[in-house]
Amino acid sequence: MRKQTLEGAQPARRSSDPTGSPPVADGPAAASTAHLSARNVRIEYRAPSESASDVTLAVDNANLELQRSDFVCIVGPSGCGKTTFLNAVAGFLPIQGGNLELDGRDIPGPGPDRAMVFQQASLLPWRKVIDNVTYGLELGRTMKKAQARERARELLDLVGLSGFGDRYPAQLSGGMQQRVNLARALAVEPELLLLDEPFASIDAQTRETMQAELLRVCAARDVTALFVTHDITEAAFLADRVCVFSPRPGHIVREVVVPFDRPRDQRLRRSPEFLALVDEIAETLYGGTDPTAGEVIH
Amino acid sequence: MATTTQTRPPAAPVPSTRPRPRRRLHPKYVYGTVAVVVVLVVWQVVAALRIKPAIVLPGPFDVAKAFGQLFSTDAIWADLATSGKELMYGLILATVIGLPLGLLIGWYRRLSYLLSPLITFLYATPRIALTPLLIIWLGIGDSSKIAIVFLMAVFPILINSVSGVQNLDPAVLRVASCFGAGHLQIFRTIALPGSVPFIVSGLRLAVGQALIGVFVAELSGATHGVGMLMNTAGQQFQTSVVFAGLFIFAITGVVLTGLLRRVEQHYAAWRPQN
Ligand SMILES: Nc1ncnc2c1ncn2[C@@H]1O[C@H](COP(=O)(O)OP(=O)(O)OP(=O)(O)O)[C@@H](O)[C@H]1O
Ligand SMILES: [Mg+2]
Repeated sequence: MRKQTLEGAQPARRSSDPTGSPPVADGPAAASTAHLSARNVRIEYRAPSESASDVTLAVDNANLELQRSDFVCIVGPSGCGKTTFLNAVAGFLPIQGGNLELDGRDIPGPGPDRAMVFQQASLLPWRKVIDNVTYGLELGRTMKKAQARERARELLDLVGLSGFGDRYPAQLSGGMQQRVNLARALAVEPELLLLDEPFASIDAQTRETMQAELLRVCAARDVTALFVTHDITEAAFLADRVCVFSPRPGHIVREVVVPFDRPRDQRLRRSPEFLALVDEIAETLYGGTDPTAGEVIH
Repeated sequence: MATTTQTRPPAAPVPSTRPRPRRRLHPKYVYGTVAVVVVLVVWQVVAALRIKPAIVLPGPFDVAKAFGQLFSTDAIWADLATSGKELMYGLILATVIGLPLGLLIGWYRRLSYLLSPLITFLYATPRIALTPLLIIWLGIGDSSKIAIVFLMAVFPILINSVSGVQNLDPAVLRVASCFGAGHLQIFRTIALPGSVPFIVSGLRLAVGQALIGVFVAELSGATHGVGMLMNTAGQQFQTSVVFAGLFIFAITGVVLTGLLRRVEQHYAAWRPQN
């Protein structure tokens, strides 16, 4: 069954406009259907001294659209503004230009409709695993404690940590902690899951397992996800579309559509189509100075 | 040897001739006891050699005898009660004021800007030197003594509470605000539990400081108290009574510190074992 989907997959070499001009600038009608829409987003860091020279332009002219249930990955060189962009979507950072809208509305600040998974698991070390998972629900105060624990248990089952609820985070391995982190983010049933290199500090083998697990969890919960990573293979395995950021100030140079069917199997990683796609993304990323790079390959 | 068989968990316990010892003595206690015994023996030997007369250096047995004599009269209970009251009131006051103030200073940066010069000044001063001032202001009664104990004990508590809050993991704080936690919620769910280890070690340090405060406070114009007892005994060359008083202070310190260590371990169950 999986094999069929693999064979049936035709790696499409389409990609949206490689020049970085807005792919979705055709009016509000298109924007209104999007779950998340970023148009010409510009984000600056200002040093406290307020002098003009201390402004770092981190993201400039970033354009991106996410439909519900999309899984989009962002790759890009280090320091290009990926985390910055994600933080703006999360509501931690204000934007200095353009439009950043969630369901057609501006983002005023952090909210329970979005949950973030960071590179570090950042669990509350004095809470047991289960109480870590219920933490977001506890803050939201919308759910009874017993009910919250019930949901937390289901999520722990989902991420493969049944029976670890009564442990403390220090008693878990790094990969297990990161799974608790994921369960904690999912517990609040976010509409949009933001992930910033969540598997970067996990060993390669665990990482591949976690990627498959994330896909399974996202499919099970019908989550929309925006996933930042350094790892092109990871992006290609996870995403519906991979957005390649330019060096700072970051904008999206190119969106690569990943055509492989879901559910995706670990064997996909070794298929020639997959490797060709990874190659193509890498070409865009590393040979990114040449705007025609995308067309040259195929 | 036995090491090769250890790879498999012993499913059925091998019937041994004697029951497995429930708990083996931890090396910590073995070494500690040995050290104490050695010191006591050396002390007794030196005292028995009579290099110095017994009035200058009594041996452990003399001190034990002095203990017996002290506790054969009722006067010691009044001394213990007085010193105990000073210690407890001072410590409680220091906790009630130092702990919340420290948490607030750690939480509100502006408050820390406002108060840190004063705190640094007072912390750097040998606070015990404020004793004469406190006696002038508060008289030689209980209140000046409690004030001295308070002043000694409050700083470790205050400063540890401040650093407890200031050393919170920013990543964890970010998680909380990501979930939309309000200030009070962050304070309750992260700042408080996260700074418990700091607070408890502050309390432990405070016990030692408070005991210094009790002793010094009773040097001037006290009618009762273990410190006063030692002071009077010293003036009358009852050296073994001085030693007995010293041990009362020491035992109090050890017991209180030990209790707090228990509390610390209870709250630090989440820390990685090393
Ligand atoms: N708090 C800050 N103040 C000032 N400049 C910042 C701040 N955070 C990031 N920057 C700058 O903004 C740019 C983008 O940073 P960002 O963290 O978004 O990069 P990134 O793409 O996530 O990099 P990496 O892949 O290494 O995580 C960097 O050049 C960095 O120097
Ligand atoms: Mg980053």
